Amino acid sequence: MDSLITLMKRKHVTSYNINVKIPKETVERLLHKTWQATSSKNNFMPYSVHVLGPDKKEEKILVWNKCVAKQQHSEDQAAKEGKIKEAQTIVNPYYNHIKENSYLLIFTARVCDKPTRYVQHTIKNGHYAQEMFEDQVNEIITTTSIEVGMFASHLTLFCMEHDIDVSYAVCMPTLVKHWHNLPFVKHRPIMLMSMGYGEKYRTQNLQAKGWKPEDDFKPQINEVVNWV
Amino acid sequence: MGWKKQARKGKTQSTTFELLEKRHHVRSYIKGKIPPKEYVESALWKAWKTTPSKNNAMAYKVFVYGPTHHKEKELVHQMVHKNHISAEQSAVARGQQTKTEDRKENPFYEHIKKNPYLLCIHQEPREPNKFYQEQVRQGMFYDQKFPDRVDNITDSICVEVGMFIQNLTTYLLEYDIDVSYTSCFFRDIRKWRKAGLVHSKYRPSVLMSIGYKQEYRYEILKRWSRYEDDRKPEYDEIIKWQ
Repeated sequence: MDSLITLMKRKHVTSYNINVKIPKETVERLLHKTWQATSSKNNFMPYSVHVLGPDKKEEKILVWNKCVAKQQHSEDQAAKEGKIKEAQTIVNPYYNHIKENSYLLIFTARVCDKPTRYVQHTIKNGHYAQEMFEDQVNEIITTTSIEVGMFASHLTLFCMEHDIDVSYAVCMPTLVKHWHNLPFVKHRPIMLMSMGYGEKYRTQNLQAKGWKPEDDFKPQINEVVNWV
Repeated sequence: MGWKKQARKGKTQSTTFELLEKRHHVRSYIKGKIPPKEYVESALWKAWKTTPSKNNAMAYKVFVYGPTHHKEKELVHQMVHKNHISAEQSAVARGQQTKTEDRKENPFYEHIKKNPYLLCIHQEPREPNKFYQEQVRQGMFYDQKFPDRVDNITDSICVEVGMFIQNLTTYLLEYDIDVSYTSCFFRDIRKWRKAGLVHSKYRPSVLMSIGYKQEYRYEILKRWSRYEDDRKPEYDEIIKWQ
């Protein structure tokens, strides 16, 4: 198995073929392997992964609506601050994967009430476990987000091995009050990840509109990695 | 170098899961045994190539301190240790803890100061590429461009940094190279610069060390007969089918 070859297969999906089913057992197995392989500071895993299966169509539309609203709010705000001239009026087509997919994962923060016995022992000696306190969720959100990214990367790798496509989104409201119609979201949302068999990809969409791959490049490696 | 050529440079594993299961937190690295720079460079290249980023921005920067940078690693370790003390003292002040560990150094942070390579990953504002320049003209808000938005987008950038370090870990494991992470440090970049760590102007996201392990944390816990006491939450505490 070569991870580079596996991960090179990943592309952002614009539409999934939701008629081709992915058995729930397959997704369970992939999630289980990911849970087992992913490390966490002090073994807390201070996040939850909420899985919406193929039958949760209405819930997925609600999530998509939130992303669209967030995009509009961000652009309106940026226009007010003079960071852009005026907001665009179109909905980002690359959010489509959020509402039409086989499975949608919503990662949220989690307050941990069960430290390991080892951590309980260190707490008695003065260790402070922030993960156990509701008022520390925002304080530690960057650490939790790093761990969510690690989890998502593992899951991606396992999905690619099964030729299951995935896509991500981080443009959603992060205040829990905006998620009142999805009551399982009790703590700050961190990321969305969709799964399914891809039918059309973002790269195809861009090519069809006349964009060349070199027009949508990432920063060069020497801009990202700096040997001090 | 093309990605297919890079792929041939990695070692083939039986399964990805078995490969990933090899990773453990390092208590100490073998002193003087340095992973070849070309392996680290190759793994960094692969991680750069395969880690996705919103709007292709990669709004972070990876600073690599190699084997000769003892002083900087010592300074980073001090930032970690001081943050640890500060967090415990604040917790006592808030009534969330009754005592501190009395400024005792956490031995599991030692990988930060004694390692062949230390990566300090910081946020970094980015200019949009050609495609996104056009989207911006049409009214899209490219928030990764603005230094004053660094704190606002920190959690989404950290998701991407988490993906990057996980991919990097996978590629390094293919070379039998160990890694460890730390996210206990001051986020205020002014504290870093005041301490003499001036490589970045922006908020730090995570620290990662690279080397060959002398001893893993779990081996120490086994020796203390504590290994079974340090298990992660059960699967169904984390994964919630709705």
